[in-house]
Amino acid sequence: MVTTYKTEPLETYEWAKELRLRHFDEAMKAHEHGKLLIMGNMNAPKEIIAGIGDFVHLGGEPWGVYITREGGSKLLMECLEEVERRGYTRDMCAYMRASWGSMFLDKSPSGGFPRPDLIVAFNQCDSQAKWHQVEAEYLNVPFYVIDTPFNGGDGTMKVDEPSLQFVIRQLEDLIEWLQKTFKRPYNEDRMMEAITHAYRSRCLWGEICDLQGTIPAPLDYKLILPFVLALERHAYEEETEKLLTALRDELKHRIAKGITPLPDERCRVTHEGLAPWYALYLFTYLREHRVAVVGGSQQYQQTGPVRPTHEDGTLAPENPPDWNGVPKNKREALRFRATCFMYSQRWSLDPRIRLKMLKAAITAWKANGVIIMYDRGCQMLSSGQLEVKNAIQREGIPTLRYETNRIDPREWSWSHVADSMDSFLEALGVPKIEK
Amino acid sequence: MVSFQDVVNNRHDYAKEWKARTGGKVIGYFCTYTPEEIIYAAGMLPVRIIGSNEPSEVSESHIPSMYCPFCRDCLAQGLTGKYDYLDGIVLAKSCMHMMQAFWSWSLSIPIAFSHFIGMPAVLGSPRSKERLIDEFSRFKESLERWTGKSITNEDLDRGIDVMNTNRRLLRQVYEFRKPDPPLVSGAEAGAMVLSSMLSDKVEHSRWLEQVIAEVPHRQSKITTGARLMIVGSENHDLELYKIIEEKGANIVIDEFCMGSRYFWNQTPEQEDRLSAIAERYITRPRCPVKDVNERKRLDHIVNLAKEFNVRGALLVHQKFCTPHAFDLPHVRKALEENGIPTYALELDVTLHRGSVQTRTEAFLEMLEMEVA
Repeated sequence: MVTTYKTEPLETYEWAKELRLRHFDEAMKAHEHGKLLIMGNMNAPKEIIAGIGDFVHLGGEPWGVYITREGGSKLLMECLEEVERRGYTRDMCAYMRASWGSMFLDKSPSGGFPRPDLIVAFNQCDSQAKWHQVEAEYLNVPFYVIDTPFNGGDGTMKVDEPSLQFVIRQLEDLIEWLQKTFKRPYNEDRMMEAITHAYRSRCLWGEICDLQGTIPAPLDYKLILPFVLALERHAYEEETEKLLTALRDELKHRIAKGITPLPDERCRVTHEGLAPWYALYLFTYLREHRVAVVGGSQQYQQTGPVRPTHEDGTLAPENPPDWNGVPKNKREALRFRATCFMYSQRWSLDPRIRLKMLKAAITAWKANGVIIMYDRGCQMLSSGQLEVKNAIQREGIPTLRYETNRIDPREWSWSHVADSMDSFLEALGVPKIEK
Repeated sequence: MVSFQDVVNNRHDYAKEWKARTGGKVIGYFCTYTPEEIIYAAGMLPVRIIGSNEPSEVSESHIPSMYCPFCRDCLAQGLTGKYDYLDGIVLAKSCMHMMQAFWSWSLSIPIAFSHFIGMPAVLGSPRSKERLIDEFSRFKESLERWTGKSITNEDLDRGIDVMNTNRRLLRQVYEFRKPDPPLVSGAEAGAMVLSSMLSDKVEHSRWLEQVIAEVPHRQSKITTGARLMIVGSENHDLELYKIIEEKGANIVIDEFCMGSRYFWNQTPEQEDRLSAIAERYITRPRCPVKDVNERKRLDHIVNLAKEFNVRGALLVHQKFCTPHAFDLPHVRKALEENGIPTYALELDVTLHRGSVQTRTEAFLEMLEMEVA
């Protein structure tokens, strides 16, 4: 007996999509609007940069997606080939290659490559600091790198104080450096306001992740993507907080009315790794076969310290001590931002943490299986992935691993991936629906 | 003279024999940013974990194929029990690849002691040294807890002395490569450096002293040839040197972690021993993954090339080695701007002798044409 649910478009989805594209336009016009343009990786401490004045932050990763999605295959291939022509290898970070190609060619879907005033990177993997080092040298702009505190940890989310202090001190150095570089005073209130938005956005995201545990799920993977981008890119802005508030409220309404993206949910899976951006039809294909892709553990990871994975495998909310989203002083604000970085880093680099979070997400979302994208375009997200896969398979959770590259379509074979998906659905007991 | 090549070939027997003879513990480490001074201070033998250069599939279910062949080869050695004599393993964070090998080893192979040192990467930052001192202190305490024995300043002095003596002697050996023809071949020097990572440095230093005494008086078979430099990522396959030198070239200097980067600088004398050790690892010739924010590696490479009167440089890197892939075009540019032609060679688990021979010949012909 098939249960049929009501399906309706998600209203806030259009807002999130519009915000994503508007962001690139704002980056291109930052100087025209009297704002600084700051580049770097998505994880850069934008909340801290906020204290130096009006700015637009352009992350290299979303710019790589922009080249791929909006630039089309012709521009993307021109960009990738330009990077190879300059002697860099094809196995390097795919986001970086698309972004570099755009920079070297001075081409993008918006025309050219925007010239930043500053580049700030959080050195999380082998690529992030080196990527922006080359960029800063090529564009001849100031460059600041914040180093990783990762030292393996103890396999729990417990914060290691010396490591945390290492990051906090570097954030303090960054504030000093920003003032020297731009010869401007630093506005701590603006920084704390940005931290407040970031904190609240993460809390909202935690609530949204929780709602995904409902059967039927109110969102599927494709619908989630622009919101994840908004959270990663603009968590520090008021509009993101408003967007996520609206999303949460709309999801509650959809749950109450039984409205879902799928007319029926034959099974629920998580998708680990990012998306092959040129082939999002993969998720449409799964949707057509009534498979609810409810999210990925990296989406839970975005909640950072407000939703740590507890040792009992739950993801209950946790407020930072003594404050409820509004930091009382600079010290607390920096501590929160540094903790966010440490949480993100542990999820990225420690397979024990990633496994715990995935298991917690599987439980919270009532998932029947796991699809893992093995991403040749990102050594960080692929790190520890096989150990995680081996561990969840040992626990009897059906798992599919497919290989591709999130940006470079030369490493994509849809027929091969579709065959794998079909076999996986068979194994889950929900063979594909013949049309 | 001891055969350093034999020490490399019989490295596992050597470590087992050392353990039986001394009753000490053997610690395997994954990267040359590991402070061996502290391991020697604890009375243990540090040995670098290296691969076998033989094809193996056992790592495939642990480390994806997009990671470098070296890290997968290292793990394969652990999974197949080649390192079953190790009492502990240590990683000083360098690249994602070696971190993969460390995690998979820790998760799949039972071992008494495992430690991860958070080696900073932004070495130009004033925060890096204090961070590294903290991390070395944590490592020292971890060893002390495990063994139940304190590591004193005297122990650290001994560890520093063991390391510095070996480093000084290796640099003396490298001086023999400056004349034309060099008095020590690249293959010989390579075996000396690699064996120093795999044996007790107190003993190794005695062997080096013998070499240093004998080399000026021995009948050398080395003839004048194109003076080459090797720059790049890890390579522990000594065959590479032999293949290149069989073609009439002389490898006179290198810049990689199984060569000069390993021993080039000394731990300074300071009251705070951990600070001194940290200073040494912060200021040593950098691996590309540590050469961010401000570039120091390129000048170092060019200076070495000039100092050793290099005619051409082979840029070798492990397939999928991202940090070196970042630096490759920049190293090439820096050398070529200084009149030193370059040729890139990509390495895999096994060395393709024919391919390396052909490429080396082509490069040497190119160098000859430039001279003409």
